[in-house]
Amino acid sequence: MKSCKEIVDLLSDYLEGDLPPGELEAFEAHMALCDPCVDFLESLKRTRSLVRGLREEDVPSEVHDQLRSFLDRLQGPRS
Amino acid sequence: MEQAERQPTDSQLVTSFRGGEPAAFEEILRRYEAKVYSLVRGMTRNDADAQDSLQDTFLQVYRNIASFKGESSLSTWIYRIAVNSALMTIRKRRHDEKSVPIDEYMPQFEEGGHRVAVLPDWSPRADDLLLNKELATHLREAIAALDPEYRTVFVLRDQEGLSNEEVATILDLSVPAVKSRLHRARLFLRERIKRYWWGTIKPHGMFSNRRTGAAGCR
Repeated sequence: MKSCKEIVDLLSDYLEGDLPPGELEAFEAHMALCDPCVDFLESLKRTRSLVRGLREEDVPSEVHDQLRSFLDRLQGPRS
Repeated sequence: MEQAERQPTDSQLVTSFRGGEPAAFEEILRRYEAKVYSLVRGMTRNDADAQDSLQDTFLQVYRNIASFKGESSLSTWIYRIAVNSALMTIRKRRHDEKSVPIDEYMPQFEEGGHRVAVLPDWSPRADDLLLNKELATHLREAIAALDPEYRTVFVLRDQEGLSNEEVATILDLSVPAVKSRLHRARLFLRERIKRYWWGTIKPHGMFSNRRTGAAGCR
């Protein structure tokens, strides 16, 4: 039976579906008997969901405009 | 049946630009501006630094695209330039960087491998972020507190959604090294959110004990 420490080391691989079959079986056997590790996994999943919500989707318009004018100056006058 | 207009590939755009078509660079910019901005904003955690890195990235892309050999994809090449630019920016203001020793936030275990948990495991649901600006602020601060070597991997992988293999190529790391840094970064953030939630971390001194009375529910 794997220890909690070994299970914590495997959590990211588990979340990404990267555990090989033997490891997956041992992981799930531990999880079936260990509520604290289930809670830990759940909190790690929630953390991932939370940080995804923080991604900067849009370039602020003033940043976009300044980049454009910078690149226009760089490219020089066009014919 | 009408056929959708076929978009030029990235490598076709590079060839066109080298052939003297400025519109090809416009298209490269259109495709990558938001991606680069999101990456450098995530890495620098600062609007002005992100703007500088964005500008620097496209300056380098413009100047060096003629020597782009196509050994990696254009996106990998641009991401690599952006990462290096953001890291340079971060190093310049290193004196006021507030990286936190990551080991202080790793789970602790007893000799037999059982975890020592001072506080119960809990972290807010994704929906809570929309409702709780203070939590979002804290989470941003927690990401900013990550050492840049962890933050870079974390932002590329978990915020930008690149694969482990792509991140490894961009950063010139092995895939196991990427996975290890990513895992530690996630554990760090999980622990920061947990401590924040139970009131043991003060963001900007905004509150004292968030969950009075609840910490006993173990």
